[in-house]
Amino acid sequence: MQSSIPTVRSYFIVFGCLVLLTLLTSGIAFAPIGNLHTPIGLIIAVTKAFLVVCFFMHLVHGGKVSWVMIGAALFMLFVMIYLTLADYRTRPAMGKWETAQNTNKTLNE
Amino acid sequence: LSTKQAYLAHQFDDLEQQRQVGLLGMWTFLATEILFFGGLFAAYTVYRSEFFAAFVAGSKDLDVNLGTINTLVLIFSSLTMALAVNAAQTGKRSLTSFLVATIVLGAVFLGIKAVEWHHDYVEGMIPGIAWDPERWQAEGVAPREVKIFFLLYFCMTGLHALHMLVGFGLLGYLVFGARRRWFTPEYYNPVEIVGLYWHFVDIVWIFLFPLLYLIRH
Repeated sequence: MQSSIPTVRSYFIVFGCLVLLTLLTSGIAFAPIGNLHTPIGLIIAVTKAFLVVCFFMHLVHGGKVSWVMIGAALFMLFVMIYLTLADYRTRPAMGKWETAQNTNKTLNE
Repeated sequence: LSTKQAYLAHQFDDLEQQRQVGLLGMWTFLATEILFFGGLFAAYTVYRSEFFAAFVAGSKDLDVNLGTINTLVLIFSSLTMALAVNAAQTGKRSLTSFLVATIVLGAVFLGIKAVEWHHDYVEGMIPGIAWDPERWQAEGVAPREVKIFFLLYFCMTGLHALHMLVGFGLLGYLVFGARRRWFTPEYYNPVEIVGLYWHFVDIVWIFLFPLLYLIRH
């Protein structure tokens, strides 16, 4: 890993890709695609993050232990978000949120 | 003492082992950082699924142009950071310039963020400090639901800005060291490790940008 220092040229290519993806994600925000803005935005964000991790953070050459760290953190993040959502989505018996539909009292705060 | 011995802490066999251990330590810290920000992302996910219309209304009031420019500025700062690490690895004098450039670009990012936050203050979009509910009553969404969007917006971008301030401190330390020739192609661990931190902060913004600014326009 020590011997493989990435070239300056590769950094500029990755930078160019990141700029293009940023302009793409901003442009798509104004496209009439219904509820797909966030899924597409997240796919582009994951692609950008992957580019940064692989090239700017040098994990494209080896770094197996670092990938394990990332994998472990993302797995725990998945557990946190998934179980939190599972909790909130499956307990209507405890009363819904006070939304605009079911309360007017607090609507104007 | 030879130069190599001076750099090598006594618990390590050689400089490469020392470097790898430092990198693993930073990656471990970044793993905890993913979960630190993850709590806010989890809260965002829960409230967004509950109050989607309010989140769309709140997102529309953020400036996509400034958000896009800021994303580009931060990506540019990641490039200069990567070039700084490269300069340290190859023993180039340009190390200091690239580190200073990274700080300047980070400052531009926070400057634009300050302009946005000031606009939010003037327009009454800051929960608890400057809040104008009538703004959203006109749009037919409950102001208290939009309030949750803006609370998350300020917590997430605020925590991100705090990380950038910490980054300034670390980069300032590197500039100090680079001017005193601390770093050589044999020993550049601090530059590489701060680089990982800076790129991580960039990645957090890469996710904040579409989730906060681009929900729907």
